[in-house]
Amino acid sequence: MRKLFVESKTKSVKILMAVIAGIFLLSLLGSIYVLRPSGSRRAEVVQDGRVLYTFELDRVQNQELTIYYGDSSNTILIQDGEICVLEAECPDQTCVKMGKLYSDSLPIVCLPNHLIIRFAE
Amino acid sequence: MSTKKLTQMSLLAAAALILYIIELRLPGPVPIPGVKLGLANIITVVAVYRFRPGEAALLVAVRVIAGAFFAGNLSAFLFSASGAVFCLCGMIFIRKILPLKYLPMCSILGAMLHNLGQIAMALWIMRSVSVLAYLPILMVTGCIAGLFTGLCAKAVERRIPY
Repeated sequence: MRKLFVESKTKSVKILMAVIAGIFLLSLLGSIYVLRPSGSRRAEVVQDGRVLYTFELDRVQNQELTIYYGDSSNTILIQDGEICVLEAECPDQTCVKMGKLYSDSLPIVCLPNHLIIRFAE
Repeated sequence: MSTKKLTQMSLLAAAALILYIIELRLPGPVPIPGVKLGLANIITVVAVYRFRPGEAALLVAVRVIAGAFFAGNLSAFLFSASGAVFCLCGMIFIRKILPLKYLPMCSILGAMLHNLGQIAMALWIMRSVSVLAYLPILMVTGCIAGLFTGLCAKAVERRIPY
């Protein structure tokens, strides 16, 4: 009886280990898929579902642009074919920390200012 | 609850809060929102293995609510709370299956559940399925972070006298 109990215990441990390994490998593949660089060279700036600007990243050089949302704002920089948020008037600074836009699946998002910067078709 | 236990839990809650605040000040290792070490999880795992489920939940609730005052914004509190609820419920269940020896494994699953809870909260706040793109990344980093905090938790657990 005791042996059976010990055995079932190790069995559940094995199952959980397999679950962890499975999720890890699947997620690793998923991450590679999500993080692959975008082939698009056009980026669009969207606020509340409305497209405010569309940029040809290779044509625009060293452009800074400030986009307002009420009293708050984000400053966007386009340089060397890449787009990023330079400054943001919000406490969390998530969009600034995200750096340059590089993937289709991960747009730069500023939740407080309802701003999304993503690649366009 | 005995005075000894109350003191022990208070000290652990204070330690968790300190870890949480230290982590707020550290820059993120990867510029992807949600990716972090989750140092406060060390104390959660220890509490799950050391105390009764209700007591562990109390300790985590104190840390999340007090932590929100230091983080100072509502969205951080919502993400932290949803992650904590998922993580805690999962680990309390997993603890019944996994003996103390496998504490780091419990921590890995807890970290994954924490990230799952955060994604669920993000889905609810943003009402857009595009946040699901973060799920695989958060699962990979959660796995690694969970292993690290789990090993720390094991070291801590051994040093706390009964």
